[in-house]
Amino acid sequence: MSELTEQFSELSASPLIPSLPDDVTLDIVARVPRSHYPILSLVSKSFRKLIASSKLYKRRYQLGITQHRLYAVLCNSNTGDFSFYILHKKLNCSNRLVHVRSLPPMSSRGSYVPFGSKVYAFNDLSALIFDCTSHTVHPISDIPQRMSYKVVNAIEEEKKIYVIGDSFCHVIEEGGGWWKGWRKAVTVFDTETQSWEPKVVKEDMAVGLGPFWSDSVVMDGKVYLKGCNSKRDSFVYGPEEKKWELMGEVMNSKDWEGACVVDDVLYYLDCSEKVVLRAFDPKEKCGWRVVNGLEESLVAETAKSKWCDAVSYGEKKLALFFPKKRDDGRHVICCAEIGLERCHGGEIWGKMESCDVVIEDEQSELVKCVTVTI
Amino acid sequence: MENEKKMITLKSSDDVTFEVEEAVVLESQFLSHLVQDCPAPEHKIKEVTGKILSKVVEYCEKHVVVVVDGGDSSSSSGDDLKKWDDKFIKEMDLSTVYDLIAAANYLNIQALLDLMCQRVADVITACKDHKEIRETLGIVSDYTAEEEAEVLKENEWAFD
Repeated sequence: MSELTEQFSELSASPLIPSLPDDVTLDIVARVPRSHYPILSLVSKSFRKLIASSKLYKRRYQLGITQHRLYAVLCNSNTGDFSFYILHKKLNCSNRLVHVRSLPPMSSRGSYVPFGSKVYAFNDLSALIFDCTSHTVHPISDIPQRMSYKVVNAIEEEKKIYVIGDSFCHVIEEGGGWWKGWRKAVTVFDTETQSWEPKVVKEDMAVGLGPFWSDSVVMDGKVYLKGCNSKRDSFVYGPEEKKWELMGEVMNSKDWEGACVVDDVLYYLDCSEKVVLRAFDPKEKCGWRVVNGLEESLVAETAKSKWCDAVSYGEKKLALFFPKKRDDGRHVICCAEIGLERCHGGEIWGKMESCDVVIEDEQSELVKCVTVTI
Repeated sequence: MENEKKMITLKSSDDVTFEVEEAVVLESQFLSHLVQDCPAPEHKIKEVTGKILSKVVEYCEKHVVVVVDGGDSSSSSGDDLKKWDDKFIKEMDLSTVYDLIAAANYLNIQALLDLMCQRVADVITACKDHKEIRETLGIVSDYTAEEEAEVLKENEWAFD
């Protein structure tokens, strides 16, 4: 085909919606909820092309109508497969975690971190991006050096991802000699240039017996690493000055495993005694708060749950995943959506907006939940 | 302190005339320029019919910002306006919506264009499947049965 006929065929291509210019149709489709896009891509080839195009998601972003979508990695204890699921609500139905079958199985050793409309997965050495707008996977360059017991956190404002873990490296002694040993190190992935920055080793932190971290979060541009054992193995890493500090005593006083951060406040469900949703704001002096208004609803649902994973679900909202034994004896996984409201004086009130059984088969174990913006 | 309001006459393609306050015309970027550049008392808008222009005028009259004495007050509060918008688009048929999109595009009235796009988006969202969307919007599918099955498989998570 000559260039001219090619141009012509593009010009004469019929519009997406008859009698509307395509740029208007773009504006219309941008306003349709994301959960409707699979249906739209079945309408025609040109609609499918539009749904897969970056200009649509750019337009959604410009119009400020992006949505938060929740993805989960689940492990099937029979097959050992790790796969992506999406929290999906069909019209007039409850929430369910639905397997995204178009994606390949994930590595059992992956660490996952959401970043904009994507999820980054870091395995032992290989790393990949899961694009949630098109449901496709692309490899990125390998982690430069193997890191054990790594935790991965993203600081969106800096467009960087911090991989923190144990690295086998040269340790230089005061006298000038050197030997090889395990040290804590930070390796940074720049999402703009899609490349790795040289790793930074913390020379004075030998890691023969840890510290091992039970959870890590980002608040106010800093990475908070919660240790499992003693009081002295929880840290705060400030990427700006590349500085490590011991975590404050108050924040470290609770075992906030399975926590999440919403609007720079840390939340986790404390199931150790009486079930309560706890909140910690590092900018406040009063320490930990209990989120009010959930006493009845949440306690009833989460009674006897052995674990709970919290994940931020947009502004002023979080989702809690927890196991439950149903009346018929079946072990299921539930998801509760909690809306959060902050009063003057700092008190926080929560409201349970929904609570659904999202996984019913007993083989599935929850590995990780992430929320993306699309 | 009542200023005398300047009135402007708009004439549709089929010669229906509408007399409106100048402030109403200012809702349209196209008309604001027209009125500034050409101070005639009457303006013919060849591209818009009387039926559609009456809707445009109705919308702009409701949305015009009136500055009252001392003030920062607008003609209607946000909630009221939203309710009015909902009523305005409710049960409006798609061909009228399309004509209003064309008119809002031509006259450059962004808020009206946004409202009409939202209306079409709501119509799409209310459809239960792709066949209903095709039917509603008059789209002819160019998929073969195999191709359609393949796309269905790709998006299985949303359907099963």
